[in-house]
Amino acid sequence: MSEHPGQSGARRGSDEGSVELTAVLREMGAVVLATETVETIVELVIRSAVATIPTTTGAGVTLVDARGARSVAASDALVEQTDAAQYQLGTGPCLTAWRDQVTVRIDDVRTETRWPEWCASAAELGVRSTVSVPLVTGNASTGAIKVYSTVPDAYDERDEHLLTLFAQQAAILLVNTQTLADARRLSADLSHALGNRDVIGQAKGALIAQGAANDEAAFAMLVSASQRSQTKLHEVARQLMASVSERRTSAAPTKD
Amino acid sequence: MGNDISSRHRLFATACHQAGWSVRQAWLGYVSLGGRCDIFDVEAFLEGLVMLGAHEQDVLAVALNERLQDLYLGRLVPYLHTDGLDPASSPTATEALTELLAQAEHDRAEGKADA
Repeated sequence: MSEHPGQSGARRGSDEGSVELTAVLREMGAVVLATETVETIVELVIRSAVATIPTTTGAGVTLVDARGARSVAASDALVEQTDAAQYQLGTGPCLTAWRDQVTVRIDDVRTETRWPEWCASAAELGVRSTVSVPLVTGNASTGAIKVYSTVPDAYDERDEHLLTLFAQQAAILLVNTQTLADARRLSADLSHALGNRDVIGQAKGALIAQGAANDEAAFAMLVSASQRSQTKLHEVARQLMASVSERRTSAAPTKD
Repeated sequence: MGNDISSRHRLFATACHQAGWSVRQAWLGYVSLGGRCDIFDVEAFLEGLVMLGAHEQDVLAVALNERLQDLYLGRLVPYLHTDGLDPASSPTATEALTELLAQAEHDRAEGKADA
């Protein structure tokens, strides 16, 4: 991420903002080709969010899977604590953004009337304003991204828009990353399964050659040996194949 | 135990749940043991919509039982001083294998005698 000139806290012009966003989106595109873990993406999203919106103190991402389990990443301890308060209370701007797929902006937690309990604990922690945007792909909301500031009125409509654009890219990236990881895992699982299946097939063949009635009878024999020896079925098959080839080797010199 | 689809599928679905397996994981376990039905058939069976053949059910049962055994053995408390009584250690399979081959040869001999 390049240094941006807005560190002093002054608002930047919209031109600079869009140049910054372009750089961020380009970096996101490059990630797909390099390291494709969800953790890397979330970290990049947070880092970029803090850099893109200059009045931001901290940022965080909440991911919610199909079962409703939440995983969170945050740029600093303040964001972590503010998020923890939301999950404890079961309510807050970020959870609303995710659940209702809406953008939520709080200009000052001291005057905000929604989520009174969360606002009180956020004010105590030193947070004054925040924006939460849902991570949406298709019709599904997979989580939310939020930025926090220690000063009131830190965010305007332009920042909301910027964060929304940002969230759209991040959501697509996260879904693709998860799909890729799933596909890789399935491929690894399948190779493993086919390896075991192969040796079991060989063992069944050996048993049929020895007189077992058919495939099903051979399988039943393997199951029975597996139960008696408390050994996994594929391990029984492996040992059977080893003993078959051993017999063949020792029988070879005596052929007539 | 009833052999109708409603009681069979419930047995399997419960085992699958206890094993902490998704349909995909259950199917992979079943395929690794030589199961021939596709994932949709297995899913439909677990949902109680279609019946699998007796042999295919047995293959799925072995996959689930091996997984449940792993989970169960993982929870056993290992002994500190008593050698040879470790409940997680498995005896050698050689004996069972020798028996297995002998049985297959015996079956073949019987088949020849019948003919």
